[in-house]
Amino acid sequence: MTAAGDGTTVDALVAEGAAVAAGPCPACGAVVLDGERYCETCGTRLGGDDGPTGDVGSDGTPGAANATRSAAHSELDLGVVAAVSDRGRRRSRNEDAVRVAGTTGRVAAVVCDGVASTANADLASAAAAGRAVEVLEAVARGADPSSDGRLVVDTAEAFAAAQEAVLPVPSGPRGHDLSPSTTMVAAVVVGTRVVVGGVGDSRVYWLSADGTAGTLLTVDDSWARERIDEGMDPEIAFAHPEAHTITRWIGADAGPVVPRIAETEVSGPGLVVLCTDGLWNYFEEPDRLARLVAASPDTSALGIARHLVDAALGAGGQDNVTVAVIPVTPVVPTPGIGPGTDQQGE
Amino acid sequence: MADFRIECFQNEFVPEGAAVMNAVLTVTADGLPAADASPVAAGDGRSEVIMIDVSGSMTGSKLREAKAATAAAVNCLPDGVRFGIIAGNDTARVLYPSSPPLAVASASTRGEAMKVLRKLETGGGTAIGSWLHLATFLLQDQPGIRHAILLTDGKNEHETPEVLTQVLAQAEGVFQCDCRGVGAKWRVDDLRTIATALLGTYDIVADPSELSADFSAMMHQALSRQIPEVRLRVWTPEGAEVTLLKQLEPVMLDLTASRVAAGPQAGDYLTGSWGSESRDYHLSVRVSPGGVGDEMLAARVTLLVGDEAAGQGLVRAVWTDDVARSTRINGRVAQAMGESELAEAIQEGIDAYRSGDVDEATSRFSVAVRLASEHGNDDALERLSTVVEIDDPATGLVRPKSKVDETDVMIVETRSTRTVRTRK
Repeated sequence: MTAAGDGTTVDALVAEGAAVAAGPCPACGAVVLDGERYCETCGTRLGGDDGPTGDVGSDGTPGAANATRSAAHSELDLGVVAAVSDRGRRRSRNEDAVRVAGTTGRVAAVVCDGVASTANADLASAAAAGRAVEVLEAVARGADPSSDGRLVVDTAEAFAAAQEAVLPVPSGPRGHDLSPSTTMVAAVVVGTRVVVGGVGDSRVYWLSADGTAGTLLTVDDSWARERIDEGMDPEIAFAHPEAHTITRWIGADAGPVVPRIAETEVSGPGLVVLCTDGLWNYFEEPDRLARLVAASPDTSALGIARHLVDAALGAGGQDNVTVAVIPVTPVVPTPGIGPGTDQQGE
Repeated sequence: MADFRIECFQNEFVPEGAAVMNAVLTVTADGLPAADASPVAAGDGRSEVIMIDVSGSMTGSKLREAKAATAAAVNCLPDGVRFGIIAGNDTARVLYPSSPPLAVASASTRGEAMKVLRKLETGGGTAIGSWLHLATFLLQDQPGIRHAILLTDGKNEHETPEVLTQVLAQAEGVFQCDCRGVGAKWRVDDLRTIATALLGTYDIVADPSELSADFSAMMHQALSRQIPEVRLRVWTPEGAEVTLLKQLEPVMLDLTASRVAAGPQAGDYLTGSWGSESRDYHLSVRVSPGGVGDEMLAARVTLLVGDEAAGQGLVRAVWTDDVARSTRINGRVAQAMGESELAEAIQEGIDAYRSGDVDEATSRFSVAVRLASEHGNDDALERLSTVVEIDDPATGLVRPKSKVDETDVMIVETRSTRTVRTRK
């Protein structure tokens, strides 16, 4: 687990994914040298960097340069926001990425789900999330709570930046046809003002702390959503094999990225939860998700994120699952007189 | 200087229980002059030997054209290249130079060689092992690239297969050999065995008048190769086994048996000399299957140019129960396997035909026709149409042909392992 001081951006997935310790191979016990990707005796994957495309991060691009391949499970806790990402039970690789930043009352979080059928999807998601959170951290830090509309415009900037960050991610040598692509949802929480944006089918929910109500704040860019909008019965739409085919994404072949951005003023204590479909496939209904959250024995942001990821793994864990949790209390921060003193450095 | 790279094509995702990983490794060399560019600079880094069949059956146009073709090949040699000509029947002798082992190419030595060729006489049988043995002797102490051309018109019937095997074992790594059969009385098997061991090509020249052009082309191709030796070093995990390493271009050569141990879990496979070209290799590795979610390195293929590692291809295995990921075979692997399947069907058809089993031959040719049609291999379809009547290529509906020319059978058999770029 990584803990960081106020105002620091932390790469949740880099935190545990980079180191390959010297020692015995977990599968055959042979001696493994530091930095080896595969056991030289039995061939078992040792974690850390990836195989044939492992050096793609060295091309000097800001997003890809730090894009170490993810470990099976990683956690991040800044207190004011926490995130958990897990490979799941079926996938060999975690192609989700999550980045968070913030201080009390001013938080930004980004969750991305690399599109599995595209090349280097994990690098794409990491690059997008990394760049977006840089933009959004500045947005959250500098936001004037009384200036209407500004937050929406600034949040949209993060999607344009993420799109740019994904462009240099190489398509990989193995004959993939599709450009590296990812979904992305982002949330900026300043006091009780919540701005969310999304491209693709990752989601942001608002869940009341007492577990009585939940609201879906984002709109999926998916085949099913489009059919439902055209009048199809949701049950039929979601049962269709192509239900989860995403219709918009971030990637070189995505065209101009126009995120759907929404701004909400929340009342009462609750949680802003960002997640990939690895979670919401099992707990689609906002109210059900709210009840699930309220049942968490550990009510810290990290405890709730773990609780949700565990629930998805318990329900099957067919996909990578990633959750970011931002607790919100109805206290409006005003520069200099907020509950924290974090804004002084601006 | 040459710029080598190796790429690996595979679908690393395999279903639970799968134990065989298939991959196509493409090795590409760039930055070397093309075949007929400026004269080869360092002629002294190269030796060429031509083995010409002078058995009793080499008469008339065959002999005339063989002499002309040998002369044409000699005329391709730039000054400085060491060369020699071997005349072979049931024994072998150095036809040129008169003071072995080799002459150094110049206007005067090329002229001398032409004179000797004109006086060439024939007689006796065919013992190709003795020719190769002499070529090995001439070439074994020469520095640089060592290459030979072998021409025969008959079966290797005056020595035992064991002798040939023994000779080939000594010749392996000493020189590469391109083999040609003229007419239709020789055996494809003989030449395939030699070309496989000595990393060359083998082909039929049905019409003797085409020999000169063919020899010139072969010599130009050989001269374009300037990197003497490139090896593939294949590392596999403990308990794993390389079940196939096959060169796919320019002709299919099964290199599996040529493995030379290079440490406890690695083996080297010679690929011969290289110019600016690209060749595909089909690698199959048998591993102990992992569980769902496990990832394993099934093979690491290191490209060794001389003793320098010039690149690496990783063959990975990832076991998944996500059918969407494991069902689709990699396109290059599919093509490689399809071509092998086609070649096998053709060879089985030819073997059945030769043994007089018309039903079996027709049935195998039917499979071959269907596969060739599926892969869009028009050349193979056209060749097959000379040995079997094709009613419907798509379904493989064929009938025995009333009259089949032996030369056509030879062409079908020889070219079945020639990899072509298909229209698909």
